[in-house]
Amino acid sequence: MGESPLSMVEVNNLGLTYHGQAGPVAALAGVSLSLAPGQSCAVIGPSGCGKSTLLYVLAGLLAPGEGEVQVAGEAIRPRRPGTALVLQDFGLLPWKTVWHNAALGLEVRRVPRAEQAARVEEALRRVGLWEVRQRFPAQLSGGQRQRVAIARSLCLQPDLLLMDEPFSALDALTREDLQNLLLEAWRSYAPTLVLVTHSIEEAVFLGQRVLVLSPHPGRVVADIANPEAGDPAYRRHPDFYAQCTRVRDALEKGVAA
Amino acid sequence: MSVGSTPARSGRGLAAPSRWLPALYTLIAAALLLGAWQLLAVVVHSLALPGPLPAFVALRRSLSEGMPFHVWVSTWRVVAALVMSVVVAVPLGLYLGRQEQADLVPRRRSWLSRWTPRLAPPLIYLTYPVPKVVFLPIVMVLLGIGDMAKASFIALVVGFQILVTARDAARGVSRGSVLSVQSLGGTEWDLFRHVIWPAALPEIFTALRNGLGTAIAVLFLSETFATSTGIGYFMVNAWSRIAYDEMFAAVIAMGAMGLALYLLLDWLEWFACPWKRI
Repeated sequence: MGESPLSMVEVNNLGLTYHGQAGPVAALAGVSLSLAPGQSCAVIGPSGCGKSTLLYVLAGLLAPGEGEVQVAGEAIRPRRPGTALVLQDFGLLPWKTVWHNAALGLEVRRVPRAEQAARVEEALRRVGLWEVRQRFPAQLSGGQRQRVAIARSLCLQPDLLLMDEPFSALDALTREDLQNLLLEAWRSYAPTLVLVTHSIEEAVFLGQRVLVLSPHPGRVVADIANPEAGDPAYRRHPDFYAQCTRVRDALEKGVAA
Repeated sequence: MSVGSTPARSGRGLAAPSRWLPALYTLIAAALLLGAWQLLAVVVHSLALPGPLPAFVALRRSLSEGMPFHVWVSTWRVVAALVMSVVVAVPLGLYLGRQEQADLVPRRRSWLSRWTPRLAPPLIYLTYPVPKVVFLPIVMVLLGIGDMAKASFIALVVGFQILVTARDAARGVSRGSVLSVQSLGGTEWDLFRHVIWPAALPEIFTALRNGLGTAIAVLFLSETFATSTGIGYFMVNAWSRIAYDEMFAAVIAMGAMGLALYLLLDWLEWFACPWKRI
């Protein structure tokens, strides 16, 4: 690849409508977003605001209905090597060990075995699961499963990391633990991060920008700059709570509108 | 190290007996069966139903009078039939099941992929209730009376059950697992290899265990005429000679063959599905 583009993610007036059996359902309408390389963005909104749909479009899984979407200066396409998506329910396969679950992305992308082994070991050590690499998902705690999913995406060495409500199924302490782990990984690998969440605190803690969406269809009701995100101590800072209140106000306005 | 180790075994008094208790229960069950057989033989009091003792005596005699050959031929026919039905029905069933799935994120479909889920369900629905054993004469006309013809006939009956099971198993694969591989950039082949096949494997083994019983029944039917080999032939031959003790010796041999194949399937599943052992 040549020089890094000025904008990693460029979404212009994106609209998407699902054609289900119950007729067309508009999931997204007029969404625009521009992210610089290495920036983190939290997308928050009530259920039915098309948060996941937005991620699937950025991941190249869904074609945009209207508008234009570019990643790293190119039109989106499936199987872009630098994009990693972490799914809501962790996406682990019960029949694969921790090691093979972590290696799945590399396997699917036909990365040579020796390189797979090296990258998986590094990622599993980073998330603290090297010791349990032979176990199956059923033998892990919820937090450990989420760590496997994070390891899987880290070993892809992504420049665009997409996460769909990654910590919503975890208890409060495990969640903060994993938010810190993610923050640390983000700071050392510096991927562009788009994180979908329904937790206000999580959005403010992790997103240098917080994009607030309204439901049915998803529209951007606020794009809040949040430059202090990324500092592990931010959670205890008074500004943190002020930002949370701002996001909450925007969310409530979006639902009422 | 607490991370890698499993919790310590509970007291010896609990852990040790569980090793030999199942074997003991199996012995008790076998003794109960033999007792019930003996009782029935006494009550019925007919030459046609000898007790277990004469049957086992006849079994010992038959073992040195050519029965092992017949058992060997029958075993080979059943195993060939099961292998044939797995090789054909499993990939086909998994493909049909996959095509009937609707993904969380709709996938692009080829012409074949659009028409398969429309036509396959009614086709299976219409053909499933037809008893496949009625095709025995046709199979004999087309394929002859050799071992492969018999194996094909058994495979026709058993394969259909395995096809339907594989189809249902593939259709029931969690959409999350499918999306997981798709989101990593996986192709349909990756999906098949990493998701559909392993997810369906335990159910395929269940279908095989059920199919084994059917296979042996169909084997018996196919060995009752136009052949002079196989345990089914041995049984019918003993019947025509009114050698009821030898007939029951053949029943025992057939049961032993079924049990051995059943255990083999269990062992294969244990080996192939390690995640089911935890």
